[in-house]
Amino acid sequence: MSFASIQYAVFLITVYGLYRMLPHRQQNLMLLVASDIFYGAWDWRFLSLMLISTVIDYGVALRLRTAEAPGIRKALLLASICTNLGLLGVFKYFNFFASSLADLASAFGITLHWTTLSIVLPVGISFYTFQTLSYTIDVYRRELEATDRFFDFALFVSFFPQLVAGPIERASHLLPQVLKPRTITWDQTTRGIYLIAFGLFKKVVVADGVAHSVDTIYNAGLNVTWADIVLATYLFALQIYCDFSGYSDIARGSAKLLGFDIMVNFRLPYFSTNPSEFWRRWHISLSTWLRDYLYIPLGGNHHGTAKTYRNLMTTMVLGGLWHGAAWNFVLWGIFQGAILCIHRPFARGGRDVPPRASLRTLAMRAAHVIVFFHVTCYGWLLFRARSFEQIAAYTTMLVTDFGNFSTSIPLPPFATLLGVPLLVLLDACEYQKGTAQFYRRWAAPARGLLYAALAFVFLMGTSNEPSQFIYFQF
Amino acid sequence: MNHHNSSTSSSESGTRTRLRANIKAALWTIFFLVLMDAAANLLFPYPADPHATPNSLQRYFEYGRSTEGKLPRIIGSTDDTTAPIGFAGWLDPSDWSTQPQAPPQPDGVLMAVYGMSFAADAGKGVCAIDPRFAMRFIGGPSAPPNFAYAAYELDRGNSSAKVAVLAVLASSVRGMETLTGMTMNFEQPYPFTYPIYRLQEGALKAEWPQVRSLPELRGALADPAQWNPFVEQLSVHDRYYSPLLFDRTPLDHSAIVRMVRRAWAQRRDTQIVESLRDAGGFKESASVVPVLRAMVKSFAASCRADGMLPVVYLVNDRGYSDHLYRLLAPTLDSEGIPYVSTHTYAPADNPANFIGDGHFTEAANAEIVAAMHALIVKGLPVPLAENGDLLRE
Repeated sequence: MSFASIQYAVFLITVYGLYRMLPHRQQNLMLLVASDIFYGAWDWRFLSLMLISTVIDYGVALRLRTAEAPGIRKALLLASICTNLGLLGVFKYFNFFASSLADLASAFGITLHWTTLSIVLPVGISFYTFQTLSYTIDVYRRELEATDRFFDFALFVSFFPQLVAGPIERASHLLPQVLKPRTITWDQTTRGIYLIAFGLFKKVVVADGVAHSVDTIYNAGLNVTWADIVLATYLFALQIYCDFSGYSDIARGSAKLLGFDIMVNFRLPYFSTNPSEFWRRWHISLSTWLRDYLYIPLGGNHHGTAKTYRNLMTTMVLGGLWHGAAWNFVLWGIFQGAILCIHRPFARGGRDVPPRASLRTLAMRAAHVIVFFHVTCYGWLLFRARSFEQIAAYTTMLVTDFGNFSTSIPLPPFATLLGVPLLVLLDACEYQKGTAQFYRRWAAPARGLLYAALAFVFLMGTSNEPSQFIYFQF
Repeated sequence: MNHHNSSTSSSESGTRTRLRANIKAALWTIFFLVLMDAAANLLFPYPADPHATPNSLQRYFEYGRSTEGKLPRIIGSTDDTTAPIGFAGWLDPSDWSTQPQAPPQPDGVLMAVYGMSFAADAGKGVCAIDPRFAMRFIGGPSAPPNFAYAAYELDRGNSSAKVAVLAVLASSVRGMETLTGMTMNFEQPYPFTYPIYRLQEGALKAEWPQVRSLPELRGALADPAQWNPFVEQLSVHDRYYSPLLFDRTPLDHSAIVRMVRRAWAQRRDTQIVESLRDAGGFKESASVVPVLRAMVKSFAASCRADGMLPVVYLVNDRGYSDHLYRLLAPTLDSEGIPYVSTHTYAPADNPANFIGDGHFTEAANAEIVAAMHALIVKGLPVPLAENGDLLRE
């Protein structure tokens, strides 16, 4: 059940209606059932995987609550990690590693006679696995009290708004909201509706609108020009941002309608001036997860320059691999790790240039934003490409075919051409005001004009060809 | 206690203020939406003159108008008040008298081509590179295979063509269970009609539409007693027919409603297409597949019976990779039917092979034409005379 569908609208309205009629305990049970229906709509068989993760982590955490011996605690944690990463390994990475090993062996003249398994990737497995892992790790670290309410814990794991594409919530943030009665304020409701509308606008008008143009070029193999590659990559930068942040907005908006507050996942990432800032703005729930559960445990930046770089590279390569079982994601991770390492000596305490500054500073910042946007776009080329051959060919053409402006990229639909400037304007307002809720201070006519413009362009965009959310495949 | 009361009262008053502000914003939203709707109609009115070419924005806001709402803009009561598209594609043999019935030169070859613009481009190309050829073309915009087959059947015996080309456009296979371009092409309806073919005991059986010519359509539009049975026939037999898309309503006046209707039409089209094909190609289970195979077989057999060379032209257009080729090549190979598939010369996944409107570029078309010409020259029962003399004329 996609967020950008009539089915989801009906589902959410039904859940909301039931939710408002029930007391807290029944609300949680109803949300659990609704979440299972939501997930089961893709493939009910994979509910069993989520149940395994839920039961193991619930049991491990309860046992950790009483276990004192370090050996037992470590063994329990290991059991949780092995279960979750084991499921992820089998369902997401088995074929990738098996075929990569076979390729490697054949390079040395050895033929490995096995076949890859016909495994369907369960939607959202990377998200809920990381979410539930963070719970047992936090309990192990004694940073969080284990809960003995199984159904509430199951709801934390499977909460439908953020189940299949995040944000990857921390138990310390979401679980208390599950456990305690929630109140739904008028502000939450209106903000929730706005977030859903804005998320749909990003997804339907922009992401779906440019998808065909991007696919045409990236599916064309090597029959493209410099301008095709550049334009398709710019458009992919827009697509992936609007697709993923649009999903996150709808997730946050849906949760707000139900009285939950889930974390912000994107903060204007293309306004970043450097890779460090980019990762504080892009997919925040993953980058902070990787920081807290991988980079820091590896030693972070506390054991010298060489180890810091090693830790950065390890974290980003695994972060890249998290996105998908393919070598281009590994390469993208290496690229992200490399630019973080290159940038590190020049970083000034990790502070961003304040948006309100002198004209010269702002001009400098704008220049940095533009330059870094192009660095990011090269990363998106690695991310979007379908093969190493394509990456090599496109990278070569960016240099050898430089300035060839002939292009066969299809023009995005009219709604998208209107929607992109509107999006840029709204993001610029958010950046300038320093808050995503800048519009709430506007007078009623101005707000009405904004809502009407969003609605009108959204309705125009409803005829864009719909496409699956990109991050569902991760 | 007093403090608590005052804080509760202040919170209630805050909620009321916010509620009022939100209601005001909602009313302003509705006001601006109405304004935008009216502005779209005022700024981008569709031209009343059927011969005027609307600009892209005028077309954009018109796409979602109901089919019955669009028809009066296309079909006038006279030829002068009818848009050019209104004349296209009618399966009315009386309209075909302007097409050549014999080659201009005695030693030339008349090639009858049935299909759509892709087929016309290929036929023109063959005539351009070899002046011994002349083309008799019967086609309709985006015509589905059932149109092309019906055109061929109706045209049998009307000319001395030595070659018959049946064109199949991959993206129009979805129209095989439609009776008219009015339903299949919701955004820009083509008024011409054609039959649906079904297999009955291994033979193709046609279901003809009740309206079969432009005069009949004009008559039906002016007379509900003729129009309603035709619409009833569409509702029963035409897979693309939907009253929400077809029937005229007062809501046609709203640009917003038109946009929503257009989106719904596209979703519906996608659903129908997905029932016929997936990323791997056309589905063997689709009901149109055996009909299409029977059509090409029947076409080839009757051509041969009439002493003509049958050629099937498989147009794998944008987005269809080699799907049509993979669907029909086994049948064509096993029956020994000559064919040209565009995927060999102009792969559909290479955007450089297409111009903006989806047709092949001149260069891509030239490759296809060369292949078709070679195939026809090789396949003709009587070898062609050298064309040196003709070329010198």
